[in-house]
Amino acid sequence: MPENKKMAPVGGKDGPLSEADAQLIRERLLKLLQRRTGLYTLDESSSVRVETAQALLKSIQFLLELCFRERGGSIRLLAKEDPEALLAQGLQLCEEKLEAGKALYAEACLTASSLENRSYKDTLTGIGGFFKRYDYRFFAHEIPCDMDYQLCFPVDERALGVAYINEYLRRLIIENRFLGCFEISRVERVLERACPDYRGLLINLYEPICTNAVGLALLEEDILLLSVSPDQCARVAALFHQLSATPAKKALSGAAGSVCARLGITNAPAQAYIEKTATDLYPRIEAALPHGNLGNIFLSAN
Amino acid sequence: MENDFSLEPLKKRLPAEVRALGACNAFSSKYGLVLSDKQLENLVVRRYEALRENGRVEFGEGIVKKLIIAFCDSPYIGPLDWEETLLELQDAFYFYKNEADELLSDDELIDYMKQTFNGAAQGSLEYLTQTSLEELCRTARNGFIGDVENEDEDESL
Repeated sequence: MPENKKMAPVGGKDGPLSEADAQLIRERLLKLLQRRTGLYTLDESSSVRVETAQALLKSIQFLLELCFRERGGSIRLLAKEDPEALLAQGLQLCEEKLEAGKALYAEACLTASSLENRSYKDTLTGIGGFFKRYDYRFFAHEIPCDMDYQLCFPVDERALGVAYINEYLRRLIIENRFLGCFEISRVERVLERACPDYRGLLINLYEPICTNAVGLALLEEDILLLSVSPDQCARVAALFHQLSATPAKKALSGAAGSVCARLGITNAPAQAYIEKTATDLYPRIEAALPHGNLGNIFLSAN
Repeated sequence: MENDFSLEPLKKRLPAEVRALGACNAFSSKYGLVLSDKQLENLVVRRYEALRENGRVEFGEGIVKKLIIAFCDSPYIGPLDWEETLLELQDAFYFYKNEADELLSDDELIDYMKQTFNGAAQGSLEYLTQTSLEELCRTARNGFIGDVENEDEDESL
């Protein structure tokens, strides 16, 4: 898909643009690109590689979209207002997001789990490099760091630049804080059961722990113990045998609420994250129920 | 959404660019070098081809104007080979901008081309493009650009 078409959804929400507006926007984007290219080369080069021009244009689009979203507008603003002023607002917003990102990164490091996992540690270190290498003036859409660690719920791949990093960090902090509520030795035992090489493989550390906590909450057991014994597993299976899809999801959602209450999690995004982890268990439970064994979902650490 | 935000085809600007480039004749005519309208158009068309072949995007008037001003006083160029020389210099310029990995500014590259063309190359475009510029770009990529400049100064002494 051509880069230029990526502007289309922004303009689309207010209906199609008139031909005159579309032409004006094209010209203004071209002017912005010309000006940014001049700044990028310090006016020492009249030409740049196609890839560089595409990256500069994508960065302009990203910054403009930040501005449009902040103001609740669309690409139509580009036809009505000074493009340079809109871009300057986008740059200002990007700077603010960058500062917020640094604070989020500090929090992610402070709340980081002491669990051994190569991709988790490497990703945290790598994001530190992002803040050194991120060039928001010219390549604001880029993510100049390696991020191998898989979150339980990945960030939308359409998010770019610092917007992606900030959302990733927000989710990582939720997972960090959750893991931090449990005794590390118990967490390790569950992870060993979930994936014997959890230290070296690209797995999510939070999901098996949250799953077990939800399982125990369903039975109104102590979630801090984390391990779900085979007997407890059978009781969970019996519980779900009696429920159709809607009440089953409601039960899972209620269990997530109990987990949050027990752990003192009052933050709404964290509560929603845990609730989604719980309700997303339903298809797995539904698939495993006919076989009468939920032992591969709710893990026994013994 | 049906709106296509592709950049306007630059060839629409061909007549305006030919006119703008024609203004350089006033400068180069002092050295007996004048380009006809057809030759000017060839240069502009070839510019787009060179940009496309080398995967580059250019804003403004392009590099030919600077090349005309830099090379019109060369003792190795006559009216008969003026257009052909400019066409080859233009091709070489865009090719070696890529080869130098964006480490040379337009002025640095043109200055080096001019010095070499009028110096060591003695008007040989083949020597300039296949020997000197190759070496310049290799050196630039390796971060020793000062060494090449110094060597040139040494040779001229």
